Amino acid sequence: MTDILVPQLGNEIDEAEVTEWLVVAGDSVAEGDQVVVITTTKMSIELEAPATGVLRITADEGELVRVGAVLGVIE
Amino acid sequence: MSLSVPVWHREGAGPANIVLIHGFGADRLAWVANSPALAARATVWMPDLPGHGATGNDVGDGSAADLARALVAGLPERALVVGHSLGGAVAMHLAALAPDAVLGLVLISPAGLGAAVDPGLLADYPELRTQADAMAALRSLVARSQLIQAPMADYVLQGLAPTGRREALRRVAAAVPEHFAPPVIQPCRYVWGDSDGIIPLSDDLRDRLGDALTVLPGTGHLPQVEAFSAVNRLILSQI
Repeated sequence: MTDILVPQLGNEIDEAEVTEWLVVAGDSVAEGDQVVVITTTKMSIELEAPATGVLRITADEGELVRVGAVLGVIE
Repeated sequence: MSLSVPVWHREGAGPANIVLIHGFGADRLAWVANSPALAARATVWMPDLPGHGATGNDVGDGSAADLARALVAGLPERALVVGHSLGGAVAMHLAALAPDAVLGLVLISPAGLGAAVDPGLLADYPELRTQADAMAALRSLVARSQLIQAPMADYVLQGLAPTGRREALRRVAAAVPEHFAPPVIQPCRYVWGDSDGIIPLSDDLRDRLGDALTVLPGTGHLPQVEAFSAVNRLILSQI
């Protein structure tokens, strides 16, 4: 099981909004696939799957999450 | 004509120095997806260019050469200099102005190589006033529009608000097509998105740059955001 974490994004950003999941919960993803868009006050980025497996989502679109929070899990 | 003294920001504490120079209309926060990874291995230096970010609006004649002159005083000794778009042209000038300080260059979809820069963006950007216009302009920078959300458009509009900012950007924009950078120092690596609509990657450029060029598929004019993992790995490979 590998967590998808909100990464550190510069010294002044400590939270982000989950903007859009690019895959559906339960889908198979490969390591490196883009899986979710997060948005900060400065920019949005796409996060990659850290492992290959099945996606379980723990943070829904619209949620505010802090740096280091778990957005989902690859199982 | 005078030049504002740039505000420099710093992250990390490694022995190596990496300088990140943003592009037209942006500021040092263009690098938020890059500085943490780089700061784990180096001291990362991020200036706001004159006419941008927290720096004042005296841009000299608006040329990349003048913007580079503004950076010389604050440049750390012996740095890898990374420049994006207009910042790439600035980086090339900086290497010519301070050859002993610049160890190498990484140029991300740089201006200054003679390739055409989209005139629409240069003209529109200083005049943006509505969120809708800002969203449209920002979307032209990327291959996937999901990366452009309202907070970024609002941030851009806030950045245009200070008195003198729009005029400074008009002056910089006017200088872009006419000023080309001096010959590039070595080592120099280039990164370009294959779907860049602002400074398109022509076959001629691919031939000229050869093995020094890394092309990122499915990527527009903001590789440092659109493909930040690959860009970070490439920058770290150069220190």
